[in-house]
Amino acid sequence: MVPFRLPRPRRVLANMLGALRTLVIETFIALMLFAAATVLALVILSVVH
Amino acid sequence: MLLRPSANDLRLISRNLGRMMLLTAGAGMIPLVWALAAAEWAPATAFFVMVGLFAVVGLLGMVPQPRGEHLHWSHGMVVVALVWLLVPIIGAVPLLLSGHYTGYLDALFDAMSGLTTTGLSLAQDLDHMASSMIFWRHVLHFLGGQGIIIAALSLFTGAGAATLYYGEARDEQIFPSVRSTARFIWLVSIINGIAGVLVLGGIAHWVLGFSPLRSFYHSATIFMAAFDTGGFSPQSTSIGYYHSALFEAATSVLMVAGAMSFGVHFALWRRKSVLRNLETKTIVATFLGTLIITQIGLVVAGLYANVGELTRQSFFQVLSAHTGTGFSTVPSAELATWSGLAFGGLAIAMGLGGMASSTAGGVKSLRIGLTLKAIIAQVRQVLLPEGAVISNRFWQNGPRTLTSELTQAVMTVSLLYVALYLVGAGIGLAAGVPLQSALFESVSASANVGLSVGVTSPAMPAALKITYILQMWAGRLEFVAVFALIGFAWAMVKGR
Repeated sequence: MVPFRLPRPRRVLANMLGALRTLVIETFIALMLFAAATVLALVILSVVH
Repeated sequence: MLLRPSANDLRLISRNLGRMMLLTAGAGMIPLVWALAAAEWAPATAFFVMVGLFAVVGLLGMVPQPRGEHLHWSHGMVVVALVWLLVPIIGAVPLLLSGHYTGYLDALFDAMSGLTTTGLSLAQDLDHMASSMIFWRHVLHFLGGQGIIIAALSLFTGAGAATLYYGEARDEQIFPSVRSTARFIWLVSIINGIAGVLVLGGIAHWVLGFSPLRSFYHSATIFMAAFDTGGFSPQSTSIGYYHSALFEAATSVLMVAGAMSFGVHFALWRRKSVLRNLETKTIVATFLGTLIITQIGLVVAGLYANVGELTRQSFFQVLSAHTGTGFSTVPSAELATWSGLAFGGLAIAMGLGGMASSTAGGVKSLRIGLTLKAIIAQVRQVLLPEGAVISNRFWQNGPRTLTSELTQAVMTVSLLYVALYLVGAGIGLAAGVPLQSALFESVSASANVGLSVGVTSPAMPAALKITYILQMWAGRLEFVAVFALIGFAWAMVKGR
């Protein structure tokens, strides 16, 4: 049986979209971690002072 | 009883070592071309000498392949351990010739630090180093972070290639073929590279006012150091040089990307969720835990009184430590003033490290998660009735079982890391370094992080420099290849 393969331009496009999605998620993770750091800093400052 | 290696064993190792050296000679052409383009003639000569040395060693090693023989597990491990020793030994030559190091040992220290993506440096007057020489230090980061073996495997493979792949501390194969996996790793890196250089370069040019060429130089070097969790920087003041929150934010995204395993990159690429993974949960929990410890320490010490400054400094430093990058926005002297608790938070973050099969160092989050799971299982076994059946299941890209063999393997490597941290700290203490600083610097070297409280300097004793070099080497290879090399050398002497 011949394995199914997407035509090359569509494979390239799929890879590009995959890469873009990964970059957006990486940025989102960094933002979420920074937001958590801000909340923690607020809580710690208000508790200690 | 150990078996003395045969002539065929030595030929196999020599041939594969030769191929790796020839490939590294090719990588050495990058800074050579840069130096020629920038009309930096003295560095160009130094790189020419280095490329020649790599080529000569490579050609000498290319003995004919023994008939019917292929790489076995032990051969692959020995080749990997030797490659990671030989590349810094030869790669240090241009650094020595640059005149920015007090001797060969210091140059070797930086070459090993570069290749193992540590980021500790003994360079003097870094701010006036030739741009091509700076670029070579960052190419070493890129070679080490991607893995020299990965570079080789994406070009040529053969029987036994998998042993080389696993020898370089990578324990997950994304595709059935090693070559496809190696190529996927390169694809991820190149795409992140294009995005990283464009974003960092854009900030440098339009926000910081750098010229286009200078923007490219800074963005390319910082990308290589951030994505490969290295930590070298073109300026002695690291990321603090840019005085830009936007630049720090873009660098943070690259550090997060670098600390993610290539398996996670692949999962995100294919729209698969990784939130259920034990490793993802562990790394988020340990990051937040060490961040809380660090922030409490900083507030108690009264170092940062407003939310903005506390968040910015603690977030960047803890992220840099946990991902094993080693960038900093505070100078070493200021870092040394952080209180005991903040110091402890950073040291723990460094020791834990990023994800397995990423470019980060340290114990790694998957091992930490599995260790905690094994401890909890032990406690439950004690508390529950004798006949109770305890499920040791966990989720990591699918349902898995925590077997006793897996627990043993995880515990062994984790304990070896702790032992390495303590041995380095002990030698630091013997060299007259205070306990807190000795432990911090030892963890930083072993976990390939690169944050420093000022112990690492050209003035430190040679014994401590050698200790840190060996720690960086053993920590990067996660011990197995190092032990294989020691065993091989022992068999050469005492084997029958």
